[in-house]
Amino acid sequence: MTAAAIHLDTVSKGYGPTRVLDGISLAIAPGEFTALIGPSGCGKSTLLRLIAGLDRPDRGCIRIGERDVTTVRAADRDVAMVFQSYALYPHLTARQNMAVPLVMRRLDRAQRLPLVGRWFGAGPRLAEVAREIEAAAASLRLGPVLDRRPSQLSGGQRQRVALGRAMVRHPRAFLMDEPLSNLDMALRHHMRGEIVDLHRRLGTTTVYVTHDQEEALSMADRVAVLMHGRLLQVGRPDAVYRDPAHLDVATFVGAPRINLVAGTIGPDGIARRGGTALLAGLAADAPGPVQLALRPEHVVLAAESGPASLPARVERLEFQGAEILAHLRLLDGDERLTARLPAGRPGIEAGRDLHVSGHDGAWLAFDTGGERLRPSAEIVSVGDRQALRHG
Amino acid sequence: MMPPSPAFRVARLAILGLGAVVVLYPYLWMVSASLKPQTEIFSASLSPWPTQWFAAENYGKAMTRIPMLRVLANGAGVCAAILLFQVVFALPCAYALAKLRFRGREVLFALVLLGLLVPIHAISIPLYAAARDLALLDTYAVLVVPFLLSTFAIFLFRQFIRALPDDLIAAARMDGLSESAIVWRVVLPNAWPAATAFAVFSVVAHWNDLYWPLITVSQTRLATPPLGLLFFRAAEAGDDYGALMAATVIVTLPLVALFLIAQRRFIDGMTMTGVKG
Amino acid sequence: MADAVRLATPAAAPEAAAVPVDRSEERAALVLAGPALLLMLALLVLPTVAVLVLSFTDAELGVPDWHIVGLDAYRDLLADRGFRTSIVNTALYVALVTPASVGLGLGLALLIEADLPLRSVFRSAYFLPVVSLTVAMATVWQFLLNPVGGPVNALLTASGLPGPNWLGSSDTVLVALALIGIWQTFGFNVVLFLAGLTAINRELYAAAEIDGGRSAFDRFRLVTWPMLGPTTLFVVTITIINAVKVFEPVAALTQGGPNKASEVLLWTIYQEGFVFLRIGPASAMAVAFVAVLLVLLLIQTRVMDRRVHYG
Repeated sequence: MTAAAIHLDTVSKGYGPTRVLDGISLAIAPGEFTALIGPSGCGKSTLLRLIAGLDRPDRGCIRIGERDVTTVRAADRDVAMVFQSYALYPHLTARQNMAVPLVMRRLDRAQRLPLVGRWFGAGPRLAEVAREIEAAAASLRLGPVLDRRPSQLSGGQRQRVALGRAMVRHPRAFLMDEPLSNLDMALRHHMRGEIVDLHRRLGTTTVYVTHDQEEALSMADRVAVLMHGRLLQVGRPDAVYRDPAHLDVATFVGAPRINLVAGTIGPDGIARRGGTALLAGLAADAPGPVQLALRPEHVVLAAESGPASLPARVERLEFQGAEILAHLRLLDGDERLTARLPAGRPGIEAGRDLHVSGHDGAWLAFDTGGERLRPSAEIVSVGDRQALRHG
Repeated sequence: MMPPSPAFRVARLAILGLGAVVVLYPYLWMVSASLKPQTEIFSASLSPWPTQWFAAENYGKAMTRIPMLRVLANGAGVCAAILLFQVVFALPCAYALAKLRFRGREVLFALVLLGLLVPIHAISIPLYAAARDLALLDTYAVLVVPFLLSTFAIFLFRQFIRALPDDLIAAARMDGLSESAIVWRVVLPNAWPAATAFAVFSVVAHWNDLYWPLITVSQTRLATPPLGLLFFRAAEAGDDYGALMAATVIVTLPLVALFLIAQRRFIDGMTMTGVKG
Repeated sequence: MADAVRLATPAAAPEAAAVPVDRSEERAALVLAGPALLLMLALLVLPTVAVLVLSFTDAELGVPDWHIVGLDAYRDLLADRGFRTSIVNTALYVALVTPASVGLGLGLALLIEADLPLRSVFRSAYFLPVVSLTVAMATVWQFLLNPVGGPVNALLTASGLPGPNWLGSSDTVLVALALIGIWQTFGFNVVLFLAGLTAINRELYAAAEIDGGRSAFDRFRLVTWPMLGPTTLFVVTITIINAVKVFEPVAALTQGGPNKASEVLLWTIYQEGFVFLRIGPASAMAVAFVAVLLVLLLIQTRVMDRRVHYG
């Protein structure tokens, strides 16, 4: 089966009075690896279950390939799913677990009967199933453990059996629901690589749900950020990171968290903190309070005050190997900032007062509703003193 | 999961409803017969509603032919005494088995398992002989003493206490509690679900037990409810159906009422004792 | 108290490591478990030994003169027609009650499960007989099954079927007792199966659906039945054991009759020991009774347990 596109058109789902998903529209290209991310309870697992056919949307429609599957049941959608708990059948061996989707699809009811199934011609089909499982197991390096039960397998092996069960039947799409969250840190990093490799080899459309933004950014072709039942942004990982469309996206994506500073925007389209102008060229139609955000790696610390700098005190240093995290507090307010710096930079010590500014064009502005305020012209250099004074 | 089809829902409710009718019909019949005069009970009409009310007569007879209130009080008293002693003896023992290391622990636990295997019926002969020699027949004591120790309670509590964190016990010791204070002030509150579950199990079992009272008690004034009902049947020669049904309503009611008040606790308790027993 | 504190302090560890068992801990255990141990010896061990000893004698209560007959006691028991009838009847009763009670328990639990709005109402309704006084409800059933004017036979007659003389005929008395037994026990099994069903990981059903399990039967075969294995084994065992112990309805309704057709194990032991006062043979029967229970438990734990636990 070839990889299929997946289209969601204004899909909504609620349980009782609570709206879990509210008008989600999303187009996933054939063969694309899309990560659905968001905090727990944002509706991402529900969305995956709707795509799988385990639940039915209240409104909207879902297409897989050219076919409208909104009312088609899970068994007939030809998608495979990897569950958070793996959902391996505990009474079946790894081999038998991987055989289930093939047996259910290729053998009719009489052929599936234990013992007597062979009378109805199950034999040749079972041999074919066995060959395909061997092939899949070899590619997942599961050969030696195929005859063990899930309880006798390690976490990583279970994970691979679950992947094997999903891939043996060459579905039109893979759906993965937090598949790595039950593994320890080292294994999780390893399995990320395996899943990405698998996707590259098979080219199957993949929808991957995770609450771990780092996992999503590192694995996916595209990331869809879901919050409070709405899609806030869909885009390539670097775009979502560098150019967030919403304050919630900016704070959810990236660790350590993006720094936030309260400011105001004037009728001149300049965002200021106190008297210091930080970002210019914004649309000036709604003067008032504004949230300014700066990634930790974009923080510049200097001993001397600059034109667009804010005074801050270093409260604590956190050594991280190649880097150091400096935790600061603004002297004219309560906000705490984090700066990510190369380790061993001189002049940064706890207790010192320094001046904080951002790299060129690094400040982001958001209105009180969290919507991104974009510079109306091309990116304005914050360092350009002249522009700020006369603009 | 996709919601089941409406046809399936209707069929399912119909089957379950029919089952409930079959299960509950004996209760309906019992209450209805207890309100009717003798002639009406087996009349051709199966209407549950009596044409002639005979409740006062039936219940009056049920209360007076044998000392019914006393029988109920006997049942309650015997059950309460048994339960109290069972918990008092079993809980410390279960705690020792679960959390303390001592020589002979395996032997003690083997005895507990022996007790789970051997029901009262199997050892009733020597127990009866002993009670006779000690002149305990036809006393309240004989109804209680054989059940003072429940190996099942020990087993159940042990399983539950084992699951309590060792740190909790260690913290209590650091706070200066003695081992028996730990049992009653730390373990018991934390083993409360097991204790209530066992209470349900024990009360249901002993309220219902006929075997032992039938052997050891011959006087109506000492009878527990099942035995009282047998005495009532004997006294009425079993023909006054209305009064007999009134008596069955009376002896059935207390536990059923308790169950209806605390359904969750009963069902959870029986499930827990069932699953672990 | 110093002792107790020492137990919990890691500083005391070297000493504890040298001596495997801590003295103070042992003293505490003795104080805590001592009363229970004494009671166990008096109320369980001693009577068990006594029953074993008695079972090799021909003792009769109130007769001072008795002899050790050794294994002959058991040979006599096996030759005793009354006892053999009793064993056969008990086995028949178990064979009637167990499949029906377990089957109804599983079937109704599967129907109640899921998102049924009246779930707890049905559960409580089916559970009601479990907490109802057995003797009392047996009495009610005696009237329901009354051949003349009883509602069961009225229903049978109305639908053109012959109404048997349930408890009064030696052909049907065990069936009638089994009906009462099923009625009283299946609600407990419903509740046990419901507990087993709620413990099944929902994702397994989702996986079965995605793997192509289209029909409810496919999902039952693939998930429910194997996952319920331990519950089913337990339910079957406890139903059998409780059925082996049937006593109250027999004592209240049939007294082993008519014509010994409802002689069951416990009733026979009761008669032999406490009515005929022949405590030697009664003890041998009691030992046989425990042996039956032991075999059932061994089958459960040793043989079947391995097949239904996937750990």
